[in-house]
Amino acid sequence: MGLLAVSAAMFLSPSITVGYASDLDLESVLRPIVANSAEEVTFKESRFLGVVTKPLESSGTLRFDPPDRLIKKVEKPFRETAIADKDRLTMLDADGVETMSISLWASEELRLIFDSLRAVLRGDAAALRTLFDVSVSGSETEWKIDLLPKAAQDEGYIAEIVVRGVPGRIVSFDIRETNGDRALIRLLGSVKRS
Amino acid sequence: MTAVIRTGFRIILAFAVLGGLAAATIMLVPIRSDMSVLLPEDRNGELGALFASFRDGPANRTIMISLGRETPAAPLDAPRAVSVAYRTALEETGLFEFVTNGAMRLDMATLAPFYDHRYRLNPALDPESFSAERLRAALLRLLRELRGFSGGLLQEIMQADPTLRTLDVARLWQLPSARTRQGVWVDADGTHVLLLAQTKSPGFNLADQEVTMARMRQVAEGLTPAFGPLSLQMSGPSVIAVASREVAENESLRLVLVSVPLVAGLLILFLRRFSALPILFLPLGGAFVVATVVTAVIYGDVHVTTLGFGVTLLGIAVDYPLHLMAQVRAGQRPETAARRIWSALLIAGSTTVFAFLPLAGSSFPGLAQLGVFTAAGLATAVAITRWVLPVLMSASGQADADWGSEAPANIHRALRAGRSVALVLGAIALSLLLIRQTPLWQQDLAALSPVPETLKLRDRALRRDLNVPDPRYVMTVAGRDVEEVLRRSESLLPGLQRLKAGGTMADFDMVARYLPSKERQEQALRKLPDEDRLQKSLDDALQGLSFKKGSFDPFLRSVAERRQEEPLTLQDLSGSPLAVRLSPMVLESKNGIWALVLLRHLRNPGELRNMVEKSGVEGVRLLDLKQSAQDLMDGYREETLRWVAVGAALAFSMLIVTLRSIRGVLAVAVPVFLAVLITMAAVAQITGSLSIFHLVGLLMVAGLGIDYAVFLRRASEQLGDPAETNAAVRAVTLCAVTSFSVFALLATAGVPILSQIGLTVAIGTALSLLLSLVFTSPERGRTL
Repeated sequence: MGLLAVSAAMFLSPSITVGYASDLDLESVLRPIVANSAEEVTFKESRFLGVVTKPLESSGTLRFDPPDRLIKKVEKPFRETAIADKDRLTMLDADGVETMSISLWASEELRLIFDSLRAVLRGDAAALRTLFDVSVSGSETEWKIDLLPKAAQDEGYIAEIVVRGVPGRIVSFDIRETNGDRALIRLLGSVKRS
Repeated sequence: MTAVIRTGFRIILAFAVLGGLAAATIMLVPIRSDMSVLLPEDRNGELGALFASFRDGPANRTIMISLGRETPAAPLDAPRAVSVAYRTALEETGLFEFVTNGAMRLDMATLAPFYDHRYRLNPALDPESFSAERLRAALLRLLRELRGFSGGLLQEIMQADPTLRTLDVARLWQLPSARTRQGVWVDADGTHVLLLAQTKSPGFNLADQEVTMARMRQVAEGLTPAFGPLSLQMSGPSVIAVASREVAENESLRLVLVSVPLVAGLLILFLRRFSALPILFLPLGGAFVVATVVTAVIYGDVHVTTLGFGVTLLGIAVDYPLHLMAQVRAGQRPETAARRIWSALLIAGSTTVFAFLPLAGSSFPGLAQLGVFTAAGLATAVAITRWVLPVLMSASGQADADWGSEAPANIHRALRAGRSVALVLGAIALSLLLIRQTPLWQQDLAALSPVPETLKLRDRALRRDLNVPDPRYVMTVAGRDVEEVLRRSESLLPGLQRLKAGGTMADFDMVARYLPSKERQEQALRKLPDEDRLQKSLDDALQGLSFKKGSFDPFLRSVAERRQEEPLTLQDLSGSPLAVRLSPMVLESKNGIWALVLLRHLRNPGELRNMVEKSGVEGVRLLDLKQSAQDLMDGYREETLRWVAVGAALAFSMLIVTLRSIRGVLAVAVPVFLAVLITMAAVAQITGSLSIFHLVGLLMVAGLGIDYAVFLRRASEQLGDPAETNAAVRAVTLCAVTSFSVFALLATAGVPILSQIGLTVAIGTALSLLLSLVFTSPERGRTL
């Protein structure tokens, strides 16, 4: 499954054969991702919280409809769907019934996370630069984007978001909070569509 | 020359005295302007205090704001930026209690008050929620939520509040959702951002409100560099009051600027005497002073509406000096003229006084004051005309230019033929009044408002978009103190919720929704588990879950502390953001406290009343403010008609006593009656229905009519002296012409109150003149 995904990615993103000729910049890292981002991928998430003794795990699928609709379907250990569409977050329960719908503007934390995820997925370097201080690092085989929220308007909960990947594909989102908590979302590969 | 100087000096002295008295009067006499005093005596206690509280209350201080691009249809690029910038700028002016622009934020600062008071505020505390089973469910839920994305906030709350009761409490306080874009309120088509602001100055303080509104416009202009030109629209009770006042002031100014030269011109033209002007207004000024003082002595104060309408009615007094001046002959002393007209003056004056005096018997304070004011004023005017004016008038009075000495008298005689025409017209008028498709008396108060239609429409749209409660229906729950009021409101909660669910109303809001009575709070706090029991339940719930040891110690501590807490009172909340939301719903007065139940889209008031009755809760009242205002107007109208009928009977008797002949009485009574009748029918035809202000105009028409008819009657009795008749006809015509021009001008006013009085009196004056001439016309060769 993973092999299939990697070969598909190689097939779809010509820039891989080229590699990175010059030093990394945000645009060149994001560009190849965009082509692949409109797929449904499986994810595994680990939450490291100060208040629990072991990490909280969940897994499911993540789908992105450019430019600003992100759907996270949790399948284990319980079923739940979160849809971030433009500036609204809607939660659906196991049966697909809506349990909550709030504006992303109500919470700085939520907005930063979803805006950053979506900006990366659609390759919007400008948006990222507006929200964060961006630094890109890495090599030919892997890259890393460090996002530091711009001078906090209020006491922000987010300390840093780190996006890691290989050419043409995001491997993980790592969200670090100011209280030491951490959320690590690993993207494993596209779901085979029937 | 010395005579002129002496006269001039006397006039100036008289005016100085008058001016001094007037100033003293205005300074010393308490003038009331709150509308609650207009309510009839028997209801005055409760309803009056309620309306006074409304007036002082926060609802009247709320301004609805809409801010958008100058060129319509283009939505704002960054609505949130504009909205936040405007809100911040307004807050910085320091003129507002608060300014809000959108949905509640989910952060600790906003949630703090709900967190602090979570066991005392509604929703009702369920002691079962502290059981091991429920705690476990809550903890499992936490483990789910923590996998979501608002972990930061959640963790701040959950350690002391694992059931997240804070959020349940906060949810109750959410304002019904207005449309939002980027998290700020926008209007129906999304092109304007909306805000709500509550001013620090009270709503009835129009001067301060105007200053505040001007600042708001300035602030909007200040945003131009950042966002381009923006257009600001405002509405709300104080905005409308300011707009009404502006219209009224502009109109009044315009009317005064035109009417004063007009009247002055007419008078100088006919009387050929510049001293005529001050002489004319002296009785009016004196009448005003005496009337105000007498009213104040009897009632303790004078209402501003009494002054307004009273001064209008005192306009009748302008005729008396005109008669005097018209009668002065060449070479004669003014004193002689005064004596000559004295009987007519006395009859006309006393008849009118007796016509108005019975209004004093009304149970409506506004009317009673008006009756006394007018009666006292007119009596004073008569006295001044008879005894003061002749002293002030020049001894060597020039006779007025003759039109041709016989002409007026001849015209007068010729008009006799018009009697039958007049009676026919009267009959037609009567039938028009009796046979009508639509009600005669106006039902729609809104038509009396001088506010332009655009402002009314804007108000409606903003109320709809911001989900502001209706201004029409409001329920009040009365009680001795806050506790009683809360207990009673609480009893109504289930019924109200049922009605809301059933669609009888869209929504309701009241303090009891958020804050339980002390009783309930104490009950709830007593049910909080003690430390040991809670520890046990918590330990059971935590079995096998991966929470770190001691994570929820804050919870144990918190509950232990809060068990000891005193119930929360409104007083405790004052100064907090919660108070801002609650205070508009509680009114205080010296008689007691009212809690308001604000309603939105009440479709069936009857059902609501039934529910209240069945609930058996005391002190509850559903007010239909629109209907109350209408009923009040109807009450005034009925009272006026009733007491004026008494006055008419008195006046009629007065005529019989003074004129001593049936023919004489008829000669005066018939034209007055017909003038009022035909005017009434004519105005009803033109405007569709009559309002109470038309009625005030008709009173004036009657007064003027009596005046014309009596003077003409006296003149026609002295058939041997054509000069007498000429003088009388000229005088009456001059009175009528000046009154007509002033009131015709008033009829063009943009303020319905003024235009209605103007139309009525203009038509009535013309008719009174004609009809008086017709019915007092002597038969050829007859002596009476």
